[in-house]
Order: sequence, then C-alpha cells, then structure tokens
Amino acid sequence: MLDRIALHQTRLRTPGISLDAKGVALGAKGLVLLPSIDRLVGFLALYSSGAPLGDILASLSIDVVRSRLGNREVVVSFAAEGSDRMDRVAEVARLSGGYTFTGTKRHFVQYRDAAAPFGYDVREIAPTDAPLALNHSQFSQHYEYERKIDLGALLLRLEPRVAPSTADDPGGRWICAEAGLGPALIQYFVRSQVAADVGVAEWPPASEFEQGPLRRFLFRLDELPKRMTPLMRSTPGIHVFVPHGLNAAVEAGFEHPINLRACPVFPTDSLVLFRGNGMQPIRVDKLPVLGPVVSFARVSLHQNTPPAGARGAPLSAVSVPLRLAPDTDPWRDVAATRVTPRDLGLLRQIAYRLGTRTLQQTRIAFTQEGAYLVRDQGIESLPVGDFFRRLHPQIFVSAGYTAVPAVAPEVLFRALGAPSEQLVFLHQDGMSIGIREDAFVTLEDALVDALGWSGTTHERIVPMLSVELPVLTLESPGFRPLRDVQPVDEEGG
Amino acid sequence: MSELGERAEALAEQVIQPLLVGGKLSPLRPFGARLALTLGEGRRIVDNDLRTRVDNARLRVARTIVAVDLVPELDVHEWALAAMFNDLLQATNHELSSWATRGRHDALAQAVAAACDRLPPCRDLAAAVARHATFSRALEVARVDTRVSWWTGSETFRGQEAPTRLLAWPGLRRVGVQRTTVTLAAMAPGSFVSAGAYVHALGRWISASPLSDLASAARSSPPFAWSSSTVSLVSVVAGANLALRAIRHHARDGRALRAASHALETAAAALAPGAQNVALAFVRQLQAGAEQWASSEDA
Repeated sequence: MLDRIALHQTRLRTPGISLDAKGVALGAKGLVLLPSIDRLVGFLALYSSGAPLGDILASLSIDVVRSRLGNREVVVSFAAEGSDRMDRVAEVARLSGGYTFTGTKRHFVQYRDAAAPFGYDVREIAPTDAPLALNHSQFSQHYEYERKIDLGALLLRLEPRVAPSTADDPGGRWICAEAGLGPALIQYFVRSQVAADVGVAEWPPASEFEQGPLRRFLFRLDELPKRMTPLMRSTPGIHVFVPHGLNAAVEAGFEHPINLRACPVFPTDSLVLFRGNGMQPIRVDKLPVLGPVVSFARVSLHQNTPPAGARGAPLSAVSVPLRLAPDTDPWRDVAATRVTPRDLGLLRQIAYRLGTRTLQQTRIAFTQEGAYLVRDQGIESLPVGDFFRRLHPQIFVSAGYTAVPAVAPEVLFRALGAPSEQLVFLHQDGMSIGIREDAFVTLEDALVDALGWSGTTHERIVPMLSVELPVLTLESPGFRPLRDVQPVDEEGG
Repeated sequence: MSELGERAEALAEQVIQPLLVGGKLSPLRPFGARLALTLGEGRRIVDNDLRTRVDNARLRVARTIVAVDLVPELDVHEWALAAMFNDLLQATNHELSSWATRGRHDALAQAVAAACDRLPPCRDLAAAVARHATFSRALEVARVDTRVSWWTGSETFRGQEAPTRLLAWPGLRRVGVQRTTVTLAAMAPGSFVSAGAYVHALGRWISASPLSDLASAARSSPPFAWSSSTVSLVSVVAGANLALRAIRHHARDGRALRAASHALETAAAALAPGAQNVALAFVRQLQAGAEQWASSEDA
C-alpha cells in the first residue's frame, strides 16, 4: 500500500524516488501501464495530438509485460525529466485508461494525483526478482518483460481511417504513380505548367516470377490544382498523399490514428506513404533523386556558341556576421544557464533544495560574467539565470533565440574555429563566451565549503565531589637544586 | 623540545595538573624568579590531552563564579605563579639542602616573595578569573607525613612513603604506622625553612590571585591582608560580585562566611582611609549577602 507524501517530507522509502524542486516525488523514469494495444494507440494518439513525441522519443520504450497470473499489459516508459511532462502524461494516461508511475529502475510508484499532490511513497518494499514492480494505491503487481514494440512498426501496422475533409487540405502533395502512368503524368504536369519534382523509386521484385524490379514514379508538388484532384484520386494506379511531417504522408481522404507529424520515427532519407482502403503502406527506404518535371519538356538548341563563363568571386563576398534572432519554436534541449553574480545568492538558496542526482549531473564554471551551469539531462531543475539551449555538443545559444543565417550547427562550429575542449555560449546580446571544459566542476563539489574541524580529546566526566585532593610528594631535587635561583639582591637588580 | 620546554611541560604535568584535578604533586627543581617570569612567554601545554584536562578543570572552577564558556589558556603570569608555587613547595623540601646548606630554604622562600612582588596585578577581571581558576585549590594542597615506629625506634618520612623494609614483619617487630596530613600553610614547621619567611612568601603568592585570596580570607595562616589587587578588585561592582561568589562558593557554611567577613573587616583596619572605605563597603555587602543566603537556604 502507498502513503501520501506530506509537505516538506524529505525521506522516501521507494528506491530511486526523490523530491524535485516543487516537492513532487519523481524518479528518473516515467511509466504508463496500459491494458491493451488499443489503449496504447489511444494514448499515443491523444499525446501526439497536443505535443510532439520527439521530446520523449529518445528515451521512449514500449514493452509488453506479463504478470505472474499470465495477463499481458503494455508499458510505456520514458525519461521523466520533470513534473510538468509527467503531469501531462498522467492526464493523457488517465484519459486513455492507463495508470502513471514513476521510478528509476525496478520499483515504480504511482505518480501524483489530486488525492496526493506530492505523490506517493510505498509503505514497505516487497522483495522481488521481477524486473518491474509497480505499486499503485489500488494494487501492487510484479511483471516480466515479454517483448518490445517498435513504435515505427506499430505506426506502419495502423490502418488509416477515412477522413474526406483531408482531401481538400491546402499544401503540398506526394503523388505515387505506377510505372506505366509516370511518363504520361509528367507530360500532363508539363503541359499544365504545374511545378512538380519527379523521381523513380525501385523495390526488389515481389517474387521470383517477376522479371524486373518494381518501379513507381514519385511526384512532389508544392500544390496540386483543385481541378486535378478528382482526376488524380479517381485514376487507378495513382495515389495522392498529404504530407505529415518530413518522412511520412497519408493518402488524401484518409487520416492516420496517430499524428505522424509528432512522431519523427522514420529515418531521415526515407519516405512512408500510408494508403487507405486496407492497402499496405509504401515504404521508400531511400528517397530517390527528384528533378523538376520541366526537365522533360521539349528542348531546342541555339545555333550560337556558348557564352563565356563567369569567374567565381571569393566566398567572403557573401559572408555575413552571425546574429541571434528571436525564435518562436518551443524551447528544446535547454541544457545550460548563466547565473549572474547578482543571482548567485539565489542559486545558493536553491542548492539546498536540489536532489543528489541534479547536484551530481550539473557542472558549473565560474567566470567574470557569472556562473555557467550545464546539465546534459536538462537544466529545468535550476530555475535561475539566463537559459541556453544546446545547439551543438559544444555550442549553446540563448534560449528563445536562433542563430541566423540558419546554418547547420556543424557549420556554425567550424565558423567559430572549431575550438576543442571549449564550450561556446552565444548570448542574445551578441556576446560570445568560450569556457574550457576542464573549468567545469560538478555542482556538488562547488557547493560545499571546506568544513573546518578541530581535533579534540575525550574526557572522562568526573563528578566535582570525587575530585582528588592534591597531595604533595617530596623528592630530592637533584644536584645543585638552586642553580637557577639568583639571590634576592641580584634578582631585584 | 628545549630543556626549558621540557621543564615547562613537566611543571604542567606534575604541578599544575594535580593542583587542578588532584593527585600526586611532585615539585620540580626550583625555577627562580627570572626563569619563572619568562617561562610562559609564547608557551602552551604541548600535550593535547593534558591541556584539555587542565582547561576543562579551570573552566569548571571559573563557572562557579561567572557564566563563561571559555577560559583563556595559561598566560605568562599564570605560568610564573605556577613556577613560584613550585619553588614555594620546594622550600619546604628537606631534601633541598644538606647540613651545610640549610640557608637554601629561606633563600628560596625570599626569592618567591620577591618574584611575587615583581608580578604585575591582574589587568582585568578576566585575568583575575583565570588566575582564580588555576590556583583556587592551592590551599588544599596537603602533605602526608608517615611516622613508622617499631620495637626499637621510630622514623618520620615527610611527604614520602616509608620504605617497605621498615614495614616488614609488623607483628614480630611491633610496627606502627601513623599518617598525618599537613596542610600547605602548616608545612613550614619541622622543615628547614623559617616559618616567618615561608608564611610571608605564601601570603605574597596568594595575593597574586586576588579572587583566590578573598575566597580563602577565613584561613588562619597566612592571615588575610588587603592588597592593592584585592582592593581594586572589589572597588568595581563586577569585581565585587565575583569576589562575593568566590567567597560564598569557598565557604562551606554560615560560620565560614562570618569568619571570612571578620577577617576582611579586621584586615581593613590596616588600610589607608580611602581603601578602607572600599574594603568596609565590600564587607558590609558580604554581610548582607550572607544574611540573604542564610534566609534563602532556610526557606
């Protein structure tokens, strides 16, 4: 059974659970227990409808677990990070019929709810060899892991449902045409002056009886004219897809149960086209080279000699200084903060509230500009100072800002001279600070002052009344006992 | 450690420690005034255990008269007083001289008295409390003399154990052992130091710790005499309060308090008029306090 955690309670019995800055019991992981795959899909659909799964995707693990009684359930585990994320997960899990837990390794305890705003703690840890022990206010159950569920595979197995309104959604389209229809479609687009890119994708033969690889034409359009929509959707062998994210698209008129935009699970160079009407999705493992359809238009050659080529100008002719521009995207990878000397007192006060793990994982370096704190797992637990998000393993940019021109982090790193063993902090006010990595020490080493201590000796406490009397013992003072004693006259002088 | 350092450490172990916590007190070779007055310069007890015991015992005494949590370590004057006390005890040691050098005893006693005169008075109340904390038990020092008698004779051992050979076959030899405790003030008789020189030196030495001097005012020998240190101490309210507490703590009953009051009043007669008024005011304060303490104890 569980105990509610009281305000200002400091000791917890559940291993791997600690109190965060808000006093909420939290472990390193969050866990959602769902009774079936249907509920799992519901949970993912609900979660992805409001927030991207990318935040938890790196640590997301979906497992089918089996209790000792043999019933199978689904467990979704992820890095807890903070109570804000956990609160959202708990709400979604509650809506989808699941239970939310938090813990670190084996023992998980029910996450906080309205009855226990600071969470729960187990009254007594039940000894078990099971790899997963869940403690809920209504039950305690031990589970064995049975198999993993790959999120990408799950998404591929889910069949899109009919959603006629999506056919008219504005925006780009993917069109997949069978090999025989491709050239005609190219000419059709060229004649209609529709801007489109085309490529040919190949798949290995479906069976030994087929002679060559399976080929399909892929068209990418920024916009499909409305007049063409009925033709495209009604022509057999041609499928129109609405893009959902960079690597996925769903057939027009259908909708995937899970918001694919929020699930960047497919490889970067690939493309997955989800077809409706019970058809298998089309997977393009490596996106083919796409070229404009106008390349296939009729060409005519000039009779004149080709013009002389222009000489290349030096690169500096277009180089521009790096600037930071406000960014409206949600903050991600906020992994550093700068605490100005004025706020160091606040940091000292907060330090008393930090958990052991935070103190161990946070590194700090003291500079003239203030103290820089870096925590790879996220700096949210230190609500003080100016936050920085990690743009590159060695580059941090003020949170809420982005570097313009929007070059790749590696390019930016090279532009900064690729400083080795330096962490570069780009401030919103244009200041750039580089700090050697060996200047960072763990926060727990920096926090505690050298404690002064002094050795002492123990004393046996003797009651006053039992103190002995001093007893004079006379012995011979030796040869010439008065050799240090001068006569009174001399001493007076 | 230098020879002087070793002697200082031995002084702390064999004289100061027994003076504070009791036990066997074995005086060292006499220091003399010059050495005594410079012995404690920049010095502290090296042995941590010993220093802790000494400091704790001093603190225990200091707390009987004032609420303090710390008594400063032995200063140069306390080291000097300890060395002088050592010399004073050696003046009564019959082994100090041979038949040809009996004058050593008086010379040593006079040297102690002269050294006490050169010792500066307490610079503040804290110093007075510290000296009292160290030397308040000095008058409790006693010597055990053993007189062994047998069927053909007897022998007396001053401050020494009788040899076992004299105690052998007690039944056959009809051995009788008689032990007598001799207090510090009574150690002169029977030794080679003249009583006058010894009592004078002891009185001068006690007056160097004014609180101890006042606390033991009821003693019979050496008789209490007001000194500039004691008069200046009781002339301030805080010093008078400390002295009252010391006297009350030292006196076992009302009779001892009255004896102390009488001794103080009698000794005040020898003072100049201004100092006499201060001393008599303190005596009246002590008498009033004694009545109040008696009534509170009765209640």
